[in-house]
Amino acid sequence: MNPARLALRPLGPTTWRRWVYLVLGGAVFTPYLVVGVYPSLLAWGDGTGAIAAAAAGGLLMMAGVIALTAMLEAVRQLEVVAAKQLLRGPLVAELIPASVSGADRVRAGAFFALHLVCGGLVGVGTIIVLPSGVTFLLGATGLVNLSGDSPWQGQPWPAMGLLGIGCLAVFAYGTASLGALMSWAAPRLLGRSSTARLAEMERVTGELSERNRLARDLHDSVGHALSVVAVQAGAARKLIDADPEFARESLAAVEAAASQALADLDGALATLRDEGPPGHRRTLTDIDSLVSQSAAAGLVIDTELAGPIASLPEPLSSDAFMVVQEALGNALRHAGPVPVSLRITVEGGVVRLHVSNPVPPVPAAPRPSGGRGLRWMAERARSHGGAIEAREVGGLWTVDATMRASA
Amino acid sequence: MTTVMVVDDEPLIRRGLRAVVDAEPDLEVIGEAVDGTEVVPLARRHRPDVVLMDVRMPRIDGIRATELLLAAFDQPPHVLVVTTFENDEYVYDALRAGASGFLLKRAGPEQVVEAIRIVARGESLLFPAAIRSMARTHVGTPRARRWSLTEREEEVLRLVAQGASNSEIAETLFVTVETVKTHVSNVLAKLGVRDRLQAVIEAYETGFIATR
Repeated sequence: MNPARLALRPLGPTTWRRWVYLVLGGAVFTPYLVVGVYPSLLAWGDGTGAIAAAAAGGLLMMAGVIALTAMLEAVRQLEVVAAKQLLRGPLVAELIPASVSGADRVRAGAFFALHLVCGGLVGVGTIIVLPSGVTFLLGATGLVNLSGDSPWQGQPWPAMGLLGIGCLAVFAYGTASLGALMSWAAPRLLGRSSTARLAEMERVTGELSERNRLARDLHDSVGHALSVVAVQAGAARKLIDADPEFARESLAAVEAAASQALADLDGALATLRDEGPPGHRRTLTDIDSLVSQSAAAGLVIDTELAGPIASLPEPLSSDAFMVVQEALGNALRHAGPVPVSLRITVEGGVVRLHVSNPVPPVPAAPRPSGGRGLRWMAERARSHGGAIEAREVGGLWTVDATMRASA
Repeated sequence: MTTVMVVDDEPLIRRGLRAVVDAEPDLEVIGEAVDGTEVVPLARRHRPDVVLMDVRMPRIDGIRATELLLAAFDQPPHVLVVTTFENDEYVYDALRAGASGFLLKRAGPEQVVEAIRIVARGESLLFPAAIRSMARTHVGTPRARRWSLTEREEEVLRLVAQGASNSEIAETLFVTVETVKTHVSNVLAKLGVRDRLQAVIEAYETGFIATR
């Protein structure tokens, strides 16, 4: 942007919209000002000379009255509407809660007071500096004769012209600066708590989805084990006379399934206890540490990352991380220390994960998990509007997952 | 002899179900599949009457396997979905795909063999309350109805959805069982569905019967 345009930018429509906002503040400030100067006027009339004390008292009174009104909820709401409409800026995008805590109201009160003070300054500028500037310019051009008792009478026109331009510049840039100050302060004083509230909501949602996942996993694994228990126990009851050997094996299976379920419960409890704040949940940005952990376990991982991985929303990124974790874990469990190719691509809010490894020559032993890991991954992908595909292609076991950020 | 195929990714479940089924003189397990990919080839080889189908399996799940199975044969086997959880979202999808009924893994051996005999006869295993609650969570906006029934047929469909048997319907409507059978087959034909269970699902999904 060239310097001339930069210099002229404060004179654009934004400034004039903010000027309306500030002048409104100045107008509202007037009655407070009357309260503030009234003691001084009284002292002046009295002629007792206690002007300084009266002025100080007046200012205190004014501050008190401003503080009282500034704390009103209606004032906060008016300020939010006015600031959103006239200041615009980052505040517009923010969701401001309908009711707020006391601390928020204090902040909003401070914003109201700032509005009054800045508005008062701009008001003074509007009724004094702006007309003065115009008058000086008119005087400089000789179109108007300044009144006889003005000290500027008869001054050379260039000085008068400069003075006029100076007044206009002070007014314009002053208004622009104060408008920018208000616009900067608005989200901080009016909206900050709402940002905090949003962050809190996000945190709670994250925590809930984490608990949901845990509950689901537990439901899945314990449900699975108890199904085995029910089926085997039913079979044992039915066959106990005809085939006692079968019944004995069934009871052993019941025992094993029940122990497995208890171990799963133990594990879940440990997870619940160890779980730090959800902020500590690992996401795709932590993929390097996962890769080095897996490498330590024996996998030789060829990693390829592309796209703005750090820009993904936390819940998506953390679930994607867990899908990669599961896929690498599966590779290690079923194929052993093999080369693994890991590709993570992020494009337009869509994450594509690709994990492939050679299939071991001897098929792995039947998995006690019964493929629950794959199922879990599919559910994670589906919950993010995506899908998962796991298959063997030309001696390679490949897992491809797509997950997208919700709109 | 009714032949049965067991599809489940958990060997212990297959083993238990096989033992329970084989212990019956009129039932026999003739094949086991460990996931959906093996279902159609094994069914071709063994031609079972009934398939006990797990829903949640890696690779091809029970829903897709049911679809494939029903599409692969002119006279497909009857599919009985076997599930861990009653409120499993997959069960309803499997029923929509054409399964004849569902069975909980925790059901005792007696119920398992009874259910196999029922679907082997070509009947549906209806749990009206369970299907209604599944339909409630699955059916959003009812889709348009492309059929119209006579008043009597509508009554019959409502009774079917309540789980009434032909003889119960006959008693309620003061007609013969033969008449009820005619009505039921007319209803199935007009709705374009294979069996009573599919008819009930269609009734819910078109809003003919409200889910709540």
